[in-house]
Amino acid sequence: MATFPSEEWLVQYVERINASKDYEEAAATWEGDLSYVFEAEPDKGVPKDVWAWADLWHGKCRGAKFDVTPEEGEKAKFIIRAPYSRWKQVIRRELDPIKGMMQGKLKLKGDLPTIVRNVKAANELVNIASSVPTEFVDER
Amino acid sequence: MIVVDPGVEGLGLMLAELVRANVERNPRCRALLRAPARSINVRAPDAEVEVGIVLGGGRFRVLPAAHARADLEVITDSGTLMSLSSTPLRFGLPDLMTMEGRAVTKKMLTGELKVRGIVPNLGTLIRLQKLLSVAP
Repeated sequence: MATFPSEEWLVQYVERINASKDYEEAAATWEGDLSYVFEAEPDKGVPKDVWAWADLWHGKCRGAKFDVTPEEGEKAKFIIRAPYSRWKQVIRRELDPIKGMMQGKLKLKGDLPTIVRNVKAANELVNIASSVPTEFVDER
Repeated sequence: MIVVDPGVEGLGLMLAELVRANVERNPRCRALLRAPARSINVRAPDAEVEVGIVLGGGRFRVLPAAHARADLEVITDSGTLMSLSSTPLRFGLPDLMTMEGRAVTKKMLTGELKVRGIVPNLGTLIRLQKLLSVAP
């Protein structure tokens, strides 16, 4: 079981992305790297913002890095950010990412039309995240 | 041209961003803003979000709350609302020749997608659809 957020969790996530036929199909035309920002919640074991970067290309993840600097992470084509506990809700499927964006709970930076055209791929990324056996850092 | 009032978040920012991107990519979209101004509400009850829009008079203005009375009102779940933007259009309305267009039309017929005020404001609905469309 991997702790979220951690490099080990990201590695398992990437492995599952690359093994997913559903994602490969849904993201067949997707081109663009993505930074996830897990915003600090010191009382929940996340003392600082954590940036994770994934290079997503035509249904595969060509590479990923955990705990990149904000300067590095900001270079990504898309950035999605939320406090740690919101991500926990997303991974547990208690918060639908589309609803989360509409409610302003998840904040996206990048070309929104591309995201809207690829909403199925975005949902698959959430499905995959939910499938990683996860122990949350505030529940250890 | 694209005006976002203070206090607008989430859905309102997304709608403004979609219109801004379309107007930038296709300057012909600017013409869609020139008609007389009409008030529009967009509501997604499952996400408990709603916004008011003023479309026309040269602007697409997003307000943080719905209008007390709007000329046109679109009410549906958040997923359908998102899919409306990627549904191919024909003459500004969902294209029945496509699977996505038929799915949207079916939702209108079954009440999963409600559009109030459509008859006197069909032109406004068409302009709204075109401004928000990201369909190829």
